[in-house]
Parts: sequence; structure tokens; C-alpha cells
Amino acid sequence: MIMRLLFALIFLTLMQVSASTYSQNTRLSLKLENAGFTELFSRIKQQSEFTFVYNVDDVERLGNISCEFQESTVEQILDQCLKSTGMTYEVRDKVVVLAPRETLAINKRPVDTGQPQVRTISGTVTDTGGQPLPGVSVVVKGTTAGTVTDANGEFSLRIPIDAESLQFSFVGMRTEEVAVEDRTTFSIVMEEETFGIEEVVAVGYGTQKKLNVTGAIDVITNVFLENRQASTVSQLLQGQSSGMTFSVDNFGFQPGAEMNIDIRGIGSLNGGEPYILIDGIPGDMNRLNPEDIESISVLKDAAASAIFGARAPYGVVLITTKSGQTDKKISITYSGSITHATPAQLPRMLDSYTHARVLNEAGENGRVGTIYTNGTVDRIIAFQEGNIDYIRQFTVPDATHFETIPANSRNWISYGDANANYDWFDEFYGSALNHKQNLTVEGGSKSTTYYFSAGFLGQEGVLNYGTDNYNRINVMGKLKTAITDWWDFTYQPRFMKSTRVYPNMDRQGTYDLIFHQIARTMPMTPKYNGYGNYSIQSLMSIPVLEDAGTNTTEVTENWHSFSTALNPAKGWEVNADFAYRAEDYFRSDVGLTIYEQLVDKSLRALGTTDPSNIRQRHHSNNYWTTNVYSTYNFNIKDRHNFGILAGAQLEQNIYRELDARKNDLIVEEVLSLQTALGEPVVIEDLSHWATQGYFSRLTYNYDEKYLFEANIRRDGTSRFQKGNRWGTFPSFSVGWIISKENFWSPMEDMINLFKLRGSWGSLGNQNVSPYQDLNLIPLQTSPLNWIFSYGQTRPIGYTGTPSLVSPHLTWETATTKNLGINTAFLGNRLQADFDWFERVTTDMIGPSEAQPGVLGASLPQANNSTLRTRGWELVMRWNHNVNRDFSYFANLNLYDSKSVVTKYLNPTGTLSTWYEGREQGEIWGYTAYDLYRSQEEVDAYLASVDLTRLWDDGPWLSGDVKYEDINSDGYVDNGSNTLDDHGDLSIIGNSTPHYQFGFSAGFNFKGFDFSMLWKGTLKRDLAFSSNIDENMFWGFTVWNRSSVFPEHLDYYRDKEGDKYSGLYEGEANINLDAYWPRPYLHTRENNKNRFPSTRYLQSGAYARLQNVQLGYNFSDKLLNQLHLSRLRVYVSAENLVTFHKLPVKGIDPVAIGGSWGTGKTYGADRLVSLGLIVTL
Amino acid sequence: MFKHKYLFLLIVGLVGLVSCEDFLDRPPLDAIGNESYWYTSSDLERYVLQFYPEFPNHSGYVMAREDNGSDNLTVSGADPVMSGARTIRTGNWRSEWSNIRSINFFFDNYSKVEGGFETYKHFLGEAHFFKAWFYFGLLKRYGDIPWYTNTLEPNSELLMKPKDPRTVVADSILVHLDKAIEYLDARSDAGNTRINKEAALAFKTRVALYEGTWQKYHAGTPFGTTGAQPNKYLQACIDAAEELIDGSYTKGVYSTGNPNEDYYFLFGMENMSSVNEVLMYRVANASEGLGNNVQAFTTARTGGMAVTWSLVTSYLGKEGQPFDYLGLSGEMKGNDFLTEIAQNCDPRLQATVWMPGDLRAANTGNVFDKPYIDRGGEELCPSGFQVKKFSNPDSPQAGLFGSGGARDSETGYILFRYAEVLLNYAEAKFELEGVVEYDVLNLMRSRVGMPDFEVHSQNTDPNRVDYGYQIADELYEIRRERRVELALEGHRIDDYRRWAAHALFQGERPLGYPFDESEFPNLSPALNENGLIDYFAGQLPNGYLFRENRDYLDNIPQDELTLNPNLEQNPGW
Repeated sequence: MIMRLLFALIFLTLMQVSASTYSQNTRLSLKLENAGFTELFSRIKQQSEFTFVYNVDDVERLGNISCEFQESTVEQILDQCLKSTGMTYEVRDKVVVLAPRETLAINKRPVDTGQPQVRTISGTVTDTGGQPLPGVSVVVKGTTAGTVTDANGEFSLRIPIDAESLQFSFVGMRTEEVAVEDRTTFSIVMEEETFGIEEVVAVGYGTQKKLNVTGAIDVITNVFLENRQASTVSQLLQGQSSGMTFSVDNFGFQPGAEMNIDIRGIGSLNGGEPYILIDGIPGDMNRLNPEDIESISVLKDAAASAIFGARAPYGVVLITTKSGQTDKKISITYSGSITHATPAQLPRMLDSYTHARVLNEAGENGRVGTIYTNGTVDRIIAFQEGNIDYIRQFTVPDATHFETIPANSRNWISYGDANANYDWFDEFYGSALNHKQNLTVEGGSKSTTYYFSAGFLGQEGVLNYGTDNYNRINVMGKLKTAITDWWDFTYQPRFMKSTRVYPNMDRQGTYDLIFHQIARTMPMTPKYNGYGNYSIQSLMSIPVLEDAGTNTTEVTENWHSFSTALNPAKGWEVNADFAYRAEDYFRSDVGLTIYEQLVDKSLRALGTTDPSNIRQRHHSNNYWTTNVYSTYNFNIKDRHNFGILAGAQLEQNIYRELDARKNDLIVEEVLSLQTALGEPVVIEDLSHWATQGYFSRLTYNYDEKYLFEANIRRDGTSRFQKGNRWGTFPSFSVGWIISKENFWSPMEDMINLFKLRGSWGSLGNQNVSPYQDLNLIPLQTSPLNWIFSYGQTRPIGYTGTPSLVSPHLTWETATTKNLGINTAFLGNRLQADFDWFERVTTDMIGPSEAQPGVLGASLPQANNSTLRTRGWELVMRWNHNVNRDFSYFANLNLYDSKSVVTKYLNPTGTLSTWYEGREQGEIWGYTAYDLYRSQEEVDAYLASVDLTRLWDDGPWLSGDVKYEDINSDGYVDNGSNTLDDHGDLSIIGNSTPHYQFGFSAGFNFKGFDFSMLWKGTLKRDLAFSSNIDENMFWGFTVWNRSSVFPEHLDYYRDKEGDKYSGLYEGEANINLDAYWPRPYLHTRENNKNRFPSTRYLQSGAYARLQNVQLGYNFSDKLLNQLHLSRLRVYVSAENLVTFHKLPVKGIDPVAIGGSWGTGKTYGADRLVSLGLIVTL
Repeated sequence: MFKHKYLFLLIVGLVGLVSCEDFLDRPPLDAIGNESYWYTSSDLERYVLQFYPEFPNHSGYVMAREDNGSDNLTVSGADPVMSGARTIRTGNWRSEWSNIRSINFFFDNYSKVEGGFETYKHFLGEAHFFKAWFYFGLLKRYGDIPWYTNTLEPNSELLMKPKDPRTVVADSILVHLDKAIEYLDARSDAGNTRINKEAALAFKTRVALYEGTWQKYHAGTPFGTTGAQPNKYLQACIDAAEELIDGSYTKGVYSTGNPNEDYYFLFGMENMSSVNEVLMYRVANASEGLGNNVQAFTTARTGGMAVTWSLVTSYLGKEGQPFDYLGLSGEMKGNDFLTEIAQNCDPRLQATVWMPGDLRAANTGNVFDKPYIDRGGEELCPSGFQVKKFSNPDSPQAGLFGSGGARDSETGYILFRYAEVLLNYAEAKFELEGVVEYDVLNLMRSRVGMPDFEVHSQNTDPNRVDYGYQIADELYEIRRERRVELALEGHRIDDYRRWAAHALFQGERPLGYPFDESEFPNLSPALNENGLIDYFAGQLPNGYLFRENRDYLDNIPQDELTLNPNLEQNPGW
């Protein structure tokens, strides 16, 4: 920032260089008593048009002065004030550049003329973007000889013949050292110092020099947020910072999907998410336009997040949005992209004939028997062969389509006994064209900066049928104005409107039911009835998606935030802000009746869609917060640096919802409660909460070598009762930059930085539902089961008895310890950071200890459990600017953690809930190495091992799973399913993702830039249950829920096949060496092969190419011709490839879930886009 | 200076932030906090309303089924209490205490109400009644139990308190009932669908008689009461009954002068509001979802219920003399037997058990032709004595079994009727004073056209029942009258328990009527030596094996004894 500011100032001013006499003609009068130099400069600025350019550190070091001037020139003033300070200045028109004497001196006067051995060299200095850098100091190493570059980044300098190397230094840039040799011209590219002493990071209520940070903080810059197509910020963050775990809900990567984020593992069994702040105000990151983000700080340990007290026990994400820059002319940027979306990984269905034969075989394996009669199979074959005449004999004379035949005089066969042949994945999934537009206007004058942006995102789902989309409009403004040089205001409005529309599945299920139904629709299910109209199955079919109504969610969010900063004296700042959020949420669920055309051509309403209905929900969720805080930074004897912060915060939230529904819409064109005839049902929901907090921070460092920081926050919340509502949360951290010690100097060139950090902090979690500690009278508005007068109705309105409350209910407390190392090597090209952490969540809410039943009520939960998470993070970054034309980088982050319950009330030790010592994700299962490959093997095994306790619902057959009696007691069972007696169960794996990594790499070559981002998990186990909804994994379940894919065909077969049953005809069918067990079509039969076991435990490890981008920036030459300042075109792709080991390729390892079983959710789309950025 | 002016404002603002402590008080916006409740009398009323549904109901079955578990009635499986088949329960008894908690919560809070005592007196009376009602249930089940006055909180020391002796519990119940009687509106104001003074008096006679006779008859057994004072309770019963009988209350014995109909019709009515005898009842209303299956299970199906030979044979002949049922069974069987007893016995028998030729459903003209001994499941009546009490041929639901068991009947459920009070009174009066209240007993006799109450020698009763101990002939007849008048109204289990009278059924099996195979050519039920249906011959080869030193009280669930070591398990468990 500082660098940019300087650059802008100097550059712009020098553009209009003329031999001005301004400085000579301007007379100033001022009087100072023991004031800082900054005060001096600002006083001069008040009286003149002079601008001062200097390195803050240089000037702060000067201390205070007292002086008085009358009608003096600026030169006179500065000459006197800078006398014997080691600083000098240069006046260039109205710009005064201050620098240490050795930097500027040489340019004014030639070096000692007594030295004949000099020669002149010249050169240019640019930044990595090719922009000239003015004001760079160029010094001959080991001397005081030097100069600064001019407005064009050029310099010329007389140097001693024997000069060995030149040092180029500039604030915010990495110092470059270049050997002189016998060159006379130099072309230097300076890089922004990513780890420079000046780099600042956002921390709670302020910024800190990164070097002085003692907490665990990671910074994500906007490189991987810009020009990306994933719709929400949470999706974009994947893989970008270590310690963050991402997961999707049951709706997977639906349009506009928001991911759940955990920082450093689960914080509490009761849930706990990171605290998100946008420009210091709590907000929802998913409602931001990613293009408006400047940078993101992730605060991971308690030391870093303690200033937020009871809001932030499980990490903080600080998002800083972009701002305009002072003294920068208006810049207008348009960026836009169009994106082609396709499903990343689709399963493939079997053709209908194969499907029929393998299902018949599975049915015949057990009690279900043959599914598809020979007649049905013959029709399926005829249809596939195009033998329509054969089918014609079974259908109505005027049939035009032959995918199904009448079941009777009214109904078509709409289901499994029809004879169509579809791969329904192909049929339902297609592609979509999405687009994104963004317009930014930014700039600033000396006192005012502005940033305005408007963005639109349109995302369509990839389903071919039904409406499934997400649109978002973001408008943001940021206006900052300095009223005086010690007082500024910022006003920042932010508007967001999102609209999500998807087919109404509510009467049968939710959105994810769509994916369940696609997966279980059989290949022979007809798309059309005999007359060519869409066929209707009651469960799902095209008309259900297309015509049965939609659910629409519209969220409008308006933020207005207003902040002010005062700078009453050097080092003292006072900040105050106020932000208000008005959120308006509207949801309309419309269910329309669809009709089915029967064999007699009459129409019949589909029962599940009749009657039509409408439900309208409206809520407002209004929030405000205000912060007032003050900081004071000072130092004693230049070495003892202190920073003090103190402040207070208030928050209030009010939520009001009305939810009304009615049946029987009159017409489909007007969808409102007003135009529906049914009985209205109305529900109201009102709630509010407030918090109040006081916070303080003390930072101290000795010579930026020994660092110390302490935070304390006292928080009160309305969620608890008086007496229990206040909590105090401290944290402490220390750091030692060993590389600054004198003894380090021999290693300094090799290891540029070596810093140790340690922190301890204790934070509360106020995120519990309110009123658990209040005696609320349950008010029943339902009718009483009693009638007080014969022939009358039931009275409405009576009260109940309050549930037991938890008078002692209090905060969960997360205590975090963190140890970290930051290192930098090879001229800061390589950085490696390592952190070890432990978080212990005590007083976690869990089941209470049993009480005598005379109490007469169920016990509320109590603060009696403990969860411990331990883990580590490793971050490595390599950056190398090889030359002006080529630079490259590679970053890796790797993270692992393990959460163990260390205290939990489970006296019997049952495995069906948490117990002390249980690790999150633990999978208990049986041991099974193999299938029985013959009946003899079954008989021999059963002779010694009793399996009846495990499963006793029929015979064990060859091809079934052979469970081992690992405790050799003669039985395979789960004992009493307790920790002490778990029979043959053992921990066979863990479903928590372990060793999660992110890897990014890229390069810039001339105008080209390339980058890629990988994200993955190296270790994760998945066990799939025997639930009939696990059809995507197992293939075979019950006949109408089986989804058999080619991957499932390696199943156990020991009989010859024929035309109607078996995968292959004859002996070819026999497959004793199968992976999958003998399939059945009855749940109770399949159960025996689907106990969680080592044999079918799967690896959930994966690596996904999250994003890959190739862009080209047009050269200045062309830009000048077009009068543009930037033109970039790029190709970007999301989710291009995913490597995983699941046996069924169509399951997205990132979106495992889905309430309807594995794989039945919206998987991540593959997005390929073409984009353009133009800046005027 | 101008800079300081703004700073000053900022600091004022900051102080403003700090000072508003009330900022964090955020009471619920759509729920009522306990501290905002209990202001008006209607707050009290709304709270006590929640307890009304706790009263028993015809619900899925019929009140008659409440006598299952006694020697009056069976269903297809033998009763586990009578056959001694219960085992120790695991788990807890928390749900049995939730009503106690709820009613105590009322008493902890009601006094906050602003407004005169008169405005909420009745609701307070209802609360006293409910507390008595809930504790009486626990007293009957467990005997000694801890008495709690206030709502308990977790970890309260009181949770660990030992059981209070039943005398303490019974006395406390009576105290609450006295309060209820004092505060409640009379029936003329409250109506008989709501707790009223008359109902509370009736309840008091029930509780006091129960406790008095329990203490008297269990003396010297493992269930004997330390410090027993049976007479105190008998006196309390008499006092309450006399208050009701002699006071100016709305009560009476329902009689329209039709001895063949009045008793029968009383139980099948829908609107009982103007029936003086019904001190309190529960109204049904099918369209409000509060219908029942009474007509379905009395006029179309049976719910598996079968009246026992033991109950039938306790009815006197219509001349007031003991009737020789067994003798008759030697001569007549099946429908003939039923027809004969219908004609020659106390008319209350025909009001209780279906007799051939009885009209079952006026709307279809359906007439009872023979009992459902050959049916199955919910249509089976294995004894041949099929429950008729509570039926109403004139009900639109008569003869129907609603679709899917829909509860379409609207038959009222009597919670308290005056006749019970009279019988409680008569029994207590004799137990305490040895006096037979003939006039009182005759009120019920005359309604059904029976001769006046008369004491016979037990020895002349061919159907003599054995209480396991000697009782006076007078008491024998009073108990018979009670059994007959209150048959199938859910009192019999309480009665045998408080009388310590397991001898009534011990070692015996419930029997049915004399089977006539000509009426059921394809049926061959188990019969006893007298040709009576012996449905339980297989299930109960040795008859009921009630464990007399254990089964009079229920056991306390295992977990509770662990959680509170001060609780003592009940005898024999």
C-alpha cells in the first residue's frame, strides 16, 4: 500500500514537471513546540500545495522538534529542521522528497572529484508489471554514493571503477542486488516484497506488520479469487489456506452453493463455524462479489481471534474489500466471462436389456425371484432392435411411440416393465452457459477516494429439464474522505440480491430428491407414452421437473456502514463505526398439479401433486453493530515499541418471519395466497438478540525482535440470563525473531528469517440457542383434548409446564495453544511456515447425568463434555522472479488434525454414541478379506464359526462376504456393542479427511500468465451402509432402486446365463473371482454382505484441479494505441479433473453426501470459461 | 479547540455505549416467560386446562376394558398381575412424575396472581383436585411414595429423599381434596363436564374408602401400614358422602320410571349434562377428533372383551335371592342359558351382557343372536358373555365399525356418578359402624325394579365368592351390590386390592358360559367339567398365581433405586 501510494504521488506529480519557482515564491509561517515531523509536514501542507514523500520509518525516527518561522520558504524551513538529522530533501515542483542523506546527496553533488576512477552508468527500474518505478534508491554497495530514479524509472549515476554491486531499494519492494561488472546499462525488475518488513496483515480491529504477528494468521490474496467461475466465495477458498476443511450440504454444488468451512477441525460436537468479518463488520462471505475482495486474513488460533471474544472460538476470516486510491485518476474496469458448464463425472447406465438380465439374476439369487418376465425382456430386445411391429401387437392401434404399452385399459406401464432404453443420466444432464459481468469505477483525489462496483452472476444448473438457477447482483460503493488531515470518514453501502429457483419437489422430498430419482430411474422406463406425450411416473419424470411448480428464494441484503477515524496526535487513532444490515428474505414454494394422459386419452391428476399449493415465507433479519475503539502506538528509546488498543462493541439483531400456506390455487398464471382457496395456515416466528463487548490489546516488542501480545475481551450476550451472561476471554502470545539476533548474521544470507511463535488463548462460544435457561410457558394454540360443553368444540389456548432449564448453562470454552515457526530462505524466495496446535473445547454441551425420576422432566443438556483437537499445518511458498519477462511461483499447504472426545457421559460405553476416547470419524466394522468362493467354503466355515448372531435371515451362500471371527469366540457378532464388549467389531478406518492439501503454481512470461490450483485429501476412509439408498455405491438394492452401472458388473456369478437372466449367456457368465458379492434384490438378503467391513472400506482420498487459468495481458504499446490501461483475456477452468479411487466413478468425492444416499446430490460441475478484463 | 470538541463527542458516545446494561435483556418475542405469566386468573385457568386430557377416556377401547385385570372381565391374554407374571422393570419412572411436576409448578406460582381470590378460587380448586388425582394414582400403584410440595430442580436434595409412608400421602391427598371441595364451584355453576364441588366430594369418598379399607385388610401382611388408622379414613369417607347426600347439591339416581331401561341407557348416552347422577363426565365429539369406539366395540365388535362367569353369577335373581347359575347350566346351554338368566335375574345383568334378541342397532334393526365365541381378534368374545354396558342402539354409530377404526361414537365417559358415592358410603358405614344403609342401597335397587336390599346368609349363595377371610353377611351383600351396580366401570381392580381379596381368583381360571355345540357345530372350545367354556385352560393351567406378598404393589424401576439409594423397593420385589 505504502509503495503504491508513493509511486502514485511521485509519478503523477512529476508528469507535469516544469522548472517551477513555486517553492521559492511560497512563503510560510508556522510555530511548533515539541511536535513530530509529520505534524510539521501537515502544517506546511495546510498552507501550501506541497506534498511530502518519505518513508514513514525514516521520519518517525527523527523524534520531535520545536521551531518558529515567519514568511520562510520551504527550503529554509527544511534546511533548519533537518539539520543534523541525517536526512535531506529535494524539492521537485510541489513535491518534497525526503530521504536519508546518503541516498539523495550524491545526486545533488558529484562524488568527490578527487577520485578520478569513476564512470557513469544508467538504467531503468520497473516493477513486475513492467511499470517504471520512480524514487528507487540506487546505491553502490558499501558506499554512500547513490541516487534515486526519476519519473520514468530511469537513473544515471557516476560510480567508482571498483564498484562491485549496486543495491536497489524501495519501500515495499524486495531489495535487489546486482553485480556491476563492466556493464553500463541496467534493467532492473523489482518485486513487491511479499514478506517484507513493511507488509501488513489485517488483524482484529486494525492491521499489523506481518513480521510482528505472533498469532497464527494466513493471508489469501485475491489472485485466486479473481476471474473465477465458482459462484460463491466459500467455494473459491478451497485449497487456498491450510487448516480449512470444506464440505457441502445435502444439496451439493447446486447453483449458488455455499460451502461449510471448519478452521482446524470441528470445534464442538454441537457445531461451530468460523466468524466472518467483512471490513470489520460480521457478514456472510457468500453474499459478496468475489471481485470486490482485496485480501482475506484467516485467523486460526485464539491469540489471533481473541479480540472477538465469544464470537470466534473456532477461527476468524477477515475479508478486506477493495478501495480507491488517493490521487489516482479515474479508472474504469469491465470484466466479463462466459462459462460452459457440464457435469464433471456422470455414471453410465446399462442398456435396458443388460439391466433386465442382471436384475433377473440378482432376484433369482434370493427370495425375490425373477423381476422381468420373458415377455418384458422380449419386448425390450425388440425395441432395441427396432422391431416395432413386435411391440405394436401389445399396444393401442393408434400408438405412435413404442417405449411402453398399456398395462390395462387406463394405465400405461410407466415403470420397470416398459421397454424403453435410456441412459437417464444422459437424458437428464446436459450443459449450461453461464455468464458473469463486472464493472468497477475507482480512483481518488488527495482527500477523497472512491470505489464503486456492480456485478452480475448468472448460473444455470446442468439439468436438461426444469428450472434450476441462481442469479446474483452485487453493488458496492466505498467512499472515503478526509475532512482534515486528522479526521476521515468512510461510507460503504453494499447491496446484494440473489435469486435461487429450483423445481418444487417438496411434496415428495427436497431438491436432492431429483438426483436420487435420476439415479434410480431404470433404463426401460419410458420417456413417452404411446401417444408421444411425456410419460409420468409418480416418483419423478420430466413433467414433474418441468411443470409441477418451482421454489423460489430471493434474498436482498442491504448494508450501510459508516466509519470514521480520528488521529488527534501522533500514534493515537480513534475509530468509530456503525453498520446496519437490512435483510429481506422471500421464499415462495409453489406446487402445481400435473396431469397424466391415460390409455383412453383422458387426463388424470398425479396424486402427489393434487391439490396444488402455495407457501409464502417472508422474513426480515435486521442487524446493526457499532464499534468504538482507539489505538495508541508509541515507543520508548526507539526500541521499546508499544501498541495499546481498547474499545467496545454493541450488536443487535431482530428477526421477524411470517409463513403462510394454502392449497388449491385457482389458476396457474397467478401464484399468490390471495388466489388460492384452501384454509390458510399462518405461522409467525420472532426473535432477537444483542451482545455487548469490551476489548483491549497490548502489543509490545523490543526492537522488533522479541514480541509480545495480550488480548482480552469481556463479552455479554442476551442469550444467557443476567448473572451468566458475561464472560472474559484472555489470550497471550509471544514471538522471537531469532534471525535478527547478532549471532545470526553468518546465516543471514542463507536463512533470511527465522521466527518462533507461541500462543495461548481461551475463547467462549456464545452460539447456543437462546432461552435455554428461561422458564418459558409453552403456549398451546392447538385445541385442548377436552370439551366443556356438550355439542361444543374444543377450547383453544392452554398452557403447559416449562421444560427444565439449564440455570448453569454457560459458554463452551475453547482453549487453544499454538506453536509456530516462520522461516525464509534464499533471499526470501522460499518461505516455510509450520504450526502445531491444540484446541480443547471444554464445557461442551452434552447429555446430563441421570437424575431420579421424581424430577418428572427430561434433563436439559449440560456443559460436561470435552473435545480435543490437535493438528499441524505446513505452508511452503516459492517465488522467483527470474528476470523481467519471467517469474514463477509454487505454493503448497498441507494440514492434518485429529479430534478426540476426552469427556462424555456414556456410562455403558455404547458404541452408538460418543464415548471418552472416541475419535471423530471413527468407523467400526468387521474384518473381511474375501468372499466365499464356493459352497464348500461356506459349509466349512460355518462348521467352526457361528454367524447367526450377525445375520440369521436365510442361508449363507457362496459369493457372500466371509466375516472373520477376530476374537475367536466362535461367533461373529458385535458383543453388546460397547467399548468393553464389541465382539468382532474393530475400528477399521476413519471418515474424517486427513492430510488435506492445497497446491498452487504458476508463472508469468512476457504478457502470459498461467496458474493452477489443486486441492485434495490424502487419507480418508468411507464405509457405505446397507441402506437401500446406497444404490449408487452397491448397484443392486431392491429392484426399483437398483442403479447398476458397468462398474458393478464384476459381481459374483456361479450359474450359467441365458437369454433372460445373467450377464452373459452360457458358461461365460460364471465369475467366481468377483469383487462385488453375490447380489440380491431383497434388503434383508443384501444386508448380510453390507455390514461395514474392511473388504468394502473405500478410500475417499482425491486430488482435484480446482482451477487452471491461462491469460494474456496485452502490451503497453497496443494499450496506448487503444487508449487503454489494461487488457487481459483468459481461459479459466474449474474442476477440470479429479483423481479418486472410488469404484464408482460417478460419485463426486467432495460431495459424498445427500440425504438420499451417496452420490445423489449435485456434483461439482466442470466449468470452462472465456473472459476479458478491460481497464480504461 | 475544534479537534477536542469532536473528540469529546466521541467519548460521550462511547460512554453511552457502555452504560446501557438493559441492552442485553432480550426476552422472547413469541413465547411467554414464566415471570410474565401468572398475572390474571385466566392465566391460572389456562394452566389447569392442560390437565383435563389426563382424565381417562373411552379412547381406543371402552371403559369396560378397565376391568380387565380383575375377576370381572378378560381379554384374550391372561392378566400379568393376576397371574404373577410381572418382572422387575428396567428404565425409569420419570414419565409417571411429570404430572406431579406440572401441578406443583402451579402451586409454586399461582399466588403471584393479581386480583381477588374469588376470581381464581375455582381454578385453584381444580389444581387441588388434580394434585389429589395424580397422587392417588401413584399411591394405588406404589403405596409409600415421596410426597413433593414444590417443583424440583436437578440436583435438589429432595430428589434423594426416601419414600413417605402412605399415611402421609393419603392424608395429604385428603387435605388437597378438602381445599378443592372448599374452593370449587358447585356443579350448578361449573357444569358436570368440569371439575366441581360434587365431583370432588365423590372423589374424596373414593380415596378415603380406598385408604381405610386398604389399611384395614392389609394389616399384618407385608403391605400392612405402620400407624394404620383405617377408621379415620372411613370416617372421612362417611363425612364426605353425607355432605353430598344431605347437602343441597345437584345429584341423584337417574330414574325415569323405566326400570328396564334407565340403568342401561345411562351409560350409552352422549349428552349427560342434565343427568343428575352423572357428577362429572367427559364429552365426546367425533367431528372435533374426540370421538371414541364405544359403539363399535359394544354393538359391532368386542375388542376381545369377555365378561366372566364370576361377574355374571354375582347377580341375584330378580326376586332378590341368590340364583343358581351352575344348576341352570346343567339344564340349559348357550343361548337358552343366556335367555333364561336374562329373564330371571337382576335386570342390571341384561344391561351389562348381551342377551339373544337384544336390539343392537336401531338404524339397521340388527339384533343380537349369539355371542362371538367363534370370531377372532377384535371380534372375539371367548366367554360368551359379551359386553353390552355402554352400548346405545339408538346411536347413529350403533352396529358400525367405522372405516379403519375411526372413532365416530360420541358416547360420554362417566368419571363420577352418584351411585358410586352411595356404595362408598354404604360400605364405609358398615365397615366403621356396622350399620347397613338400606335406604341408600335401595335407591339403586328400585331404579331397576329389584326388591329392596336384603342380607342373605353367605352359605346359601350357590355362587359364593371367597374373599380369603371371613366377612359379615351384611358386608358380603354390600360388596355384591357394589360389584353389580358398578360392573365394568373400572372399580373392580381397586376393590380387590384394597380388600386384599386375591383369594377371589387365586388358583382359578376365568370361565365362560355353558357351551352349546349345536349353535357352533364347527367350534370345539376347551370346556371345564361343568361344560363351561374354559378359554384359559392352556394359558393358565394352574389358574391365576397372584403372588400375594408382592403383587399388590408395583415395583420401582431398577435405575431409580440406583440413582436414589434412599428409595426402598416395594415388598417382595
